[in-house]
Amino acid sequence: MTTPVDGVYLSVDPAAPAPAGWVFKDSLERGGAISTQITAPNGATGSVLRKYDPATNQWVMLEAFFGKDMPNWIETGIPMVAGKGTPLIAFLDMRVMKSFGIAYGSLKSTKLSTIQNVEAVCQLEVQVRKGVAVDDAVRTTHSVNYAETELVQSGHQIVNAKVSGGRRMPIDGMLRHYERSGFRTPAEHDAILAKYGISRTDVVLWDYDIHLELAPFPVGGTP
Amino acid sequence: MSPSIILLAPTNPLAVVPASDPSYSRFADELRRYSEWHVELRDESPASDDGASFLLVFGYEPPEWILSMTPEGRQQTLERVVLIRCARAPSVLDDLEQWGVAAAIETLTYSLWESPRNGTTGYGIAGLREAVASIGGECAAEPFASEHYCVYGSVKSSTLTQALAEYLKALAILRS
Repeated sequence: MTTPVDGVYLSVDPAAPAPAGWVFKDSLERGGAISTQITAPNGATGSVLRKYDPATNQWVMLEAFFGKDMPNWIETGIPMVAGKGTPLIAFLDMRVMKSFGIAYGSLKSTKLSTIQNVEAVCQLEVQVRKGVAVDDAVRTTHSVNYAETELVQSGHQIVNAKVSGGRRMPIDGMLRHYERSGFRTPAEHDAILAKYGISRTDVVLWDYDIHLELAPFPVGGTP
Repeated sequence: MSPSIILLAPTNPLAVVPASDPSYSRFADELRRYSEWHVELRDESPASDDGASFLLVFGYEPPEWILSMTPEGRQQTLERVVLIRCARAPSVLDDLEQWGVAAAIETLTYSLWESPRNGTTGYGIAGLREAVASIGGECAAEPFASEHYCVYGSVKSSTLTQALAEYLKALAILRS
């Protein structure tokens, strides 16, 4: 969805009870971040940690994890897609944005912190191998795609992207961490690697930050 | 007297009331069963610390009331702190080196434990290398290991709470 859908952001109410079957547990962390623990109607769990700096109008996406079988969409308020609902992560993030009091179209920048999403890491590596500059390559990765959904629905457009930090190491080390924890199986990871032609011993950039410069969505969007 | 564990449930304005969150009491019950220690769930506040127990804190960082102590008191208290739902490795290891806490558990690992659909594996605690070695734990390679800490897998425990009980018992013996 590349344009704001009227009323979506306005309809998100952090004080409203969670939709039937869902559990949201918020906690204010030291330093001002808000963490949300999520349990879906099917029992799948996840967590999201976000922060807002009102001095710079920066939205910081610290981390997010969803367990297996977490639904991708949630039906509540005014849906982003009629009959389908709103992408879960976009809804959760807009809910936290509203908790922080972030006004529609008011953010200046967003930081996506310590990217360890396997799909996104592989997508970046594939583009970089083709000679695409890393700051351009990151625009088409999963991380920016999902961030863009909530940013657009909250009245923003991305005008620039930059990658900073990270570790260049064989991807196997990161994969093994998630496999040993039980988050994903080696077979699940191998399928993702195969899709992108990357092997476990390949040195890739991971644990990097993405900085997005934002501007208000030009026309056509209302809160 | 056996060591004991106090789970400090969040009391900030956004937090769910501990009594209405069954996962806190389930975590306490499992730790009690595996450790055979006294395990208690209390609201997070300075008054909840008895000065001797391991303090399990649900949060990304140690609470302000600990960090604002005098240097000596802060260090002695942090050595008894286990952060549950901390930031993700490997970057959190730098913080652990700075704080000197007893251990930490990534949010992902806690979240997997919370869901009966997933379950945990006995891997995922960032512990002090000395205690990990004493239980024969297998440290992950760098960057998931630092000078004093490593994320490790237990060879005896197959769940998060079992592994944490095993680890804290080993740490208590090392410090006795």
